[in-house]
Amino acid sequence: MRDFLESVVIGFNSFVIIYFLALNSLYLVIVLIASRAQRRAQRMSSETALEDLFANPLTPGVSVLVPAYNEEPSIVSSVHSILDLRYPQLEVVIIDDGSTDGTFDVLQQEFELQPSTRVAAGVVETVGTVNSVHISRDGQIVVIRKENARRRGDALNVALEYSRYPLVCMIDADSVLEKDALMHVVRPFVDDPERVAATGGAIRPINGCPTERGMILEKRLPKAWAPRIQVVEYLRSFLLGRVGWSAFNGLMIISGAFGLFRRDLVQQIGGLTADSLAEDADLVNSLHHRLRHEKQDYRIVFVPHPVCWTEVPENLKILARQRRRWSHGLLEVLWRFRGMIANPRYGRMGLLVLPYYVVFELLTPVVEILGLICLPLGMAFGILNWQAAVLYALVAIGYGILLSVVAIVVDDLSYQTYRRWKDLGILLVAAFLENFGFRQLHAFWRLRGLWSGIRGSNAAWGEMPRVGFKETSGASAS
Amino acid sequence: MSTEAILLIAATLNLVLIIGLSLSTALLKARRERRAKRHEEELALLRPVMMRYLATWEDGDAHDLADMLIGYRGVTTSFEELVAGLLPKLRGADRSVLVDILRRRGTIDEARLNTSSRVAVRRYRAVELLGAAGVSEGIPEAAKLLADHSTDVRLAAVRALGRIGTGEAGAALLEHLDSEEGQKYPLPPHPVTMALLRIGADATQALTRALDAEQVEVRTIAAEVLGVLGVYPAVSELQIRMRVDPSVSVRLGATHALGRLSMPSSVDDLTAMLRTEEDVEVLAAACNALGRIIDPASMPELEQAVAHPHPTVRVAAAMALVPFGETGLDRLREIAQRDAAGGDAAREVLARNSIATNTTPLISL
Repeated sequence: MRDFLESVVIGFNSFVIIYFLALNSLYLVIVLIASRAQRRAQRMSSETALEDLFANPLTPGVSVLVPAYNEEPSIVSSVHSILDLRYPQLEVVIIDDGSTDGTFDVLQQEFELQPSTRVAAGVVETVGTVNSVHISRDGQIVVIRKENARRRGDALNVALEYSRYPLVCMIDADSVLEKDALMHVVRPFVDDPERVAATGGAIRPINGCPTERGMILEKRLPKAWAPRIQVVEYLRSFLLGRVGWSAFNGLMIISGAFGLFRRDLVQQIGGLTADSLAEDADLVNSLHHRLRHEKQDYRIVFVPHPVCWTEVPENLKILARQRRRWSHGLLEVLWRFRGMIANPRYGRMGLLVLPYYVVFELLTPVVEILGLICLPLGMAFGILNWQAAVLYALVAIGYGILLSVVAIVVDDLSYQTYRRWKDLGILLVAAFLENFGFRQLHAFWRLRGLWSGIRGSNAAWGEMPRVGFKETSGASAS
Repeated sequence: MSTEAILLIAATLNLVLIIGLSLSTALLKARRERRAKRHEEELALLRPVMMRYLATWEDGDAHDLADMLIGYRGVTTSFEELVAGLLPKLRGADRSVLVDILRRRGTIDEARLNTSSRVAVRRYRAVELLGAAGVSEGIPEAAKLLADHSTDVRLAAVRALGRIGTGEAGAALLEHLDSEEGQKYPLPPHPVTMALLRIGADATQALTRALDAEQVEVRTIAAEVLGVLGVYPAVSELQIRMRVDPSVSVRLGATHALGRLSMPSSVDDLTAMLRTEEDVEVLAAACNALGRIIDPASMPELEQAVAHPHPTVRVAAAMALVPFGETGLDRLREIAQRDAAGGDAAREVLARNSIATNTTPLISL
């Protein structure tokens, strides 16, 4: 029995080491690609290009689609932040997805909405019945009230049906955008109109930043450690992961918090999958699937410039729910597109990107949790010596910290988002602390999400209790 | 080597890298802050001199200030940044004076030389500077970079030609687009249209010629830009393009242009388009154009278009009836009573119009 247990523990540990080596090597490649792309983007950034984009009367219009479910504390600030964007032609289409709070009332009061009627494009199927349409006097804001179908994808499909411009920007109701956010993400479309199908912008947590009328007055770090650690996570994910995959035209996820798409292409694929938990990743993969299937030359681009700020959960319970949903959603998406995995017909998406997500994203929590169980077990039964166990843990933790530090360094060199010395210190400490407790909890939450996905349990797009933005003035502070 | 030894090396390497990266970030941050401070100090020194020079150069006694600016060699790039910030705000003689300072400092010649650099970033920055300075001697270099292998450099060259802003720059741009090299190194239409719009009236001759270009992209761009620039002598050429061009994008560009130009002589062609055209975008553009011209003769065709199977055309046609005033609104009210195609578009447009004008729509929503 002991021999069997010993061979299982040693075998598993060897597997973990190989898994870990492969994961690290891939990360390293992604980091190298990302830093090259980042450096190039930084050195060739151009204010004149943005000026021309703004001044050109032929710049394509953008419909900003905002699904809102019980967003009373932050919706008005968000809409103001969209209306204040530097962009020549835009409309805001808000879907009040059966909110039970005062979301619609605050919108109606602030923007003097009037009941109206609007012709839907009739191209994409929707689920929840539309109850009424309201528009502002200048026609720039359209609010559609509909029954809640418990899916964000359905809300976005309805918004798509009622939008008018050739580019559609999907954002979260709690997102606050930088003044030039749309210009940054539209630029790839005008510079390469034949090929660019979608662009995604970099997202940063807004918790702790003082705002006024939906504008960030100062970029600050959150006060609590849970959101501070999420800042580090976002830096790592957006500045390293997505930049690297984008340079490789293998971007699998454009965050639902801020993404821009060609409306005709989204309509051609039938809109978003209404019953998907990860409708953002699902949409991007549907585009890859369709465009690769049709052998089209296309690009899905990530814009590393920080453009969108969003509220992240401060409370571990809500954070756990969010991460479970993400993990469940990832499983759903990978299962839906399983036909692409390892299929040479889908090029690098099929042969590299999707297998990477299966092995190194979806299954990581399983390996990590099993590793966490096996390590003390091996030590307790005397199969592993404690020096090796401690060294192994140090390497794993050290590598995690190193990746986070690289992301912090890249941000500081390229964008200097957080200017205070104190912030740099806090970020480095958060990168360290993340590995002691948070990372393990995160693996556990992801494992639970994976399990609920395997069981096929029904998780819906739901409410994330909002703290609301830290308004320096005005009434929308919570 | 034992597993423990490998792990120990890996852990040590991680630690060294973490500490090294953290320290170098801190050092770089400190250096950046020092440079920013120095930069501010240099700007504080240069800005008043520059302003005084711009205010007094006409008097002819500002040679000392000019010499100081020409000879100034700072530690940071503050001089170039100050000039780059000022150039877009200046016009006429003040701008020429500032460009002359750049020329005498050797900055323009250096930029022209750098357009041949092997490093893409240098070529990019050089052509951006030539554009910001708007110097016509930079046209050959900028035109050459339209065929650069780096897309970013090509786009910077397009913007530079637009900012140089002469007819010669516009012609170079359009010639490149219609050439074999232009096919090999394509340029996206949006930055090209903006460059041509910046050039403005000086580009009209080249643009009118470009309506007969071989390449679809060139004809489309020419049509769109002629419309935005309001080149009325090009109306008949645009009407021909709208009627006979085999490319949808050219027909669309010409229809947009005719709408912008709003000449009554286009009404017959536009109404004919509503009967014969199949592309939804072109049809919607034709409706918009007729809504701008407001010729009562086009109303029956627009009313028919309100019942088009595609919602984009229906709404565009209904909106085109609004500028006809009460007559158009009455027609829309009639159509709005229908349940069949067109009623929805008429109701939407009436509702939108009533909200915009703060009146009742006179129909039940």
